Amino acid sequence: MLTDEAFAYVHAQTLELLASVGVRYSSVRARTLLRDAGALVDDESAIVRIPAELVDRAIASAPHDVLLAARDGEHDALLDRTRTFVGHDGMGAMTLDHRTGERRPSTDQDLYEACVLADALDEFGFCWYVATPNDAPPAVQSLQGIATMLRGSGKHVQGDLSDPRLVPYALEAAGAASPGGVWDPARPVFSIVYCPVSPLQHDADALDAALLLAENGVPIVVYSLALAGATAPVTLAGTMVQTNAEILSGLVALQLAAPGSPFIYVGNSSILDMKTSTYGACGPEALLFNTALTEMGHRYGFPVLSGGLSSDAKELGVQSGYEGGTMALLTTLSHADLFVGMGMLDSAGFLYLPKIVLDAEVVAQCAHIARGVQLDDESVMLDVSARVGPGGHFLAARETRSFLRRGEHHQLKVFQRGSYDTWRADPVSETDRATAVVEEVLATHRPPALPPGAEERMAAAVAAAAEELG
Amino acid sequence: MSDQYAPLKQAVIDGNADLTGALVQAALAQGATAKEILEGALLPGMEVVGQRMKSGECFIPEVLLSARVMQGALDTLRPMLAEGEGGGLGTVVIGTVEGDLHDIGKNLVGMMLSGAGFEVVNLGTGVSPAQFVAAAKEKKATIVGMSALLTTTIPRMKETIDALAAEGLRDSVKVMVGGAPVTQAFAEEIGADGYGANAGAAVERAKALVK
Repeated sequence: MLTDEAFAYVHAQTLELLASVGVRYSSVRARTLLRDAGALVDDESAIVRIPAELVDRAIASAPHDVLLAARDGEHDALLDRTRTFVGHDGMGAMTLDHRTGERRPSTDQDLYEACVLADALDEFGFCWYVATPNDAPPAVQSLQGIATMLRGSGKHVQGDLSDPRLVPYALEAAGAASPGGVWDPARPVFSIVYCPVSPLQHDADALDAALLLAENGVPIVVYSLALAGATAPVTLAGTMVQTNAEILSGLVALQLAAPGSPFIYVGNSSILDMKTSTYGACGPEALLFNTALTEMGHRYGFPVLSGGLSSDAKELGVQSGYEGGTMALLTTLSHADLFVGMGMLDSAGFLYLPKIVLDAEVVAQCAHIARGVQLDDESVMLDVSARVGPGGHFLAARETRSFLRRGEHHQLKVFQRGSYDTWRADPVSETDRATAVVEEVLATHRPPALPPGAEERMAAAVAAAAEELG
Repeated sequence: MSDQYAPLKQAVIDGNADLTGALVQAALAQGATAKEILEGALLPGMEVVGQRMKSGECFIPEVLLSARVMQGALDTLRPMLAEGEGGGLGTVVIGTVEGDLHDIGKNLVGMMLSGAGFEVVNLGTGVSPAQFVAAAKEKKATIVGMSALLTTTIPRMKETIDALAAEGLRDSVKVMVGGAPVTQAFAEEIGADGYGANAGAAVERAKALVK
């Protein structure tokens, strides 16, 4: 989608924005690092103008491949442009409880159940912080979230941590869950999403936490949440450049604090809906942002996280299916390394567990599409056509069976084919079928056991953090 | 008995023609009767395949491979079976009705009926009511199965049923209909005895009709 000229243009405009307008870094530590590296720092406004050379050096310093380790040792996600790993959407303050039909503040148990589903379903490559545990003390909710995600799934977990004081506790909790019982920077079982504040600002606590985490080997995703027309220019081009600038300004600080530390770019941006004044996470603009920015990140040589499956719709229906599905397919075909979005509605406003199962079905279909068409003599099957001849059929050919067993045709799980009469005889809605899968998985699936004593250590870490932070 | 035939039953389930043939010969050499082999291994094997198809565990081509293996074994055993022992399910005459050339669904049902133990006479496509009647008489059919894909040709089904009645065959022959435009309601309306929304359902219905 992006020509060489387009990429060079966006990059040049980004460098111009960073050098002329600059970025506000509220973190004293970040400003010191930047000043020492040659940036123009104004301490009064906290605005730093970053020379192009510093940005290019940071881009060159970040690793191309990033390992997101799984505590179970089986589901490592190596981000090296060859695979797409899919995770939840995030992060929901609310949950639509499929058992009661009530939309209510999400709880630790909601997050746990979403992670158990992720552990059980093959479509999941990692867990995202899909619901905030509102029943935990506010100051340590993000830490509680990391612990709960590690408990719920053996796969890699990606959370949020915006307070530097929580960092040692998070490393202790993740270390407890790691196979060796200690935090291993070579095999990070959790990573963090860090969000600049649009337009062009870095919060002190959140960035200080990210810098500290990066120094300890925790991979950092820099996720700009610019809203075109409100916290970014109304044009897609302007928002793309600003989003890129915000991500790269985060990268510069991270690479100065921890050269070579694992970093993940985000191919996503959004608009403010100018009729309802709400966040518009999906639709044509998001599709264009995701595709173009994912390509920007890849051209820089970074692993990229992008999104799909999410919807601004409040209920399952044509809008949620269409928005979620088109974005999922584009993200898959863009070969994003990480792809988030399972399980939420209402612009990532609330978690709905049955949607995880329906989204997994879409993920499987996207993966099938991404495989493309195998073109070779065996697959063209001229020999079989010769055997069958005009007017015959291929149903009983041995090759038909063997290709089917090798997955030539995608097999539906929750979605339906078959005759109308068969459906009419037992017309269970797709939501009910998905809900049944949720209940079955939660009743039968047990995530891999944590090392002995790990649960106690994680609980103690959360309790000690709550004590310290009040 | 079931243990003794477990490998043969499995060979049918796996659609392994060579192994099935060899195990049938071995069983005969050891003195088993054709009826014992049929009832102890072949039919139970196909029963498992039918169940797996219904539960979505296997693909239609796998059912057909098993059905073909079953047919091959039956061809070996048939001369040794007494009258009425050939699976006991009887003969099905099937065809696509006059004016219609679509036959993949009908062939699929035919192959699966064979696999289930029916003797299947496939009349092909464009079969007229008179041809259905003649074949039903000649083959002593227990079931006549008609298929149509075009809404313009399904009236032939009713005409065939009327023709069977006119020849006095309606009491001895069950009539099944199928195809995309056919529904349970249509089947009942024209006085057919059975309808299957898909191949698997058609086989189940056929088995129920001859019980």
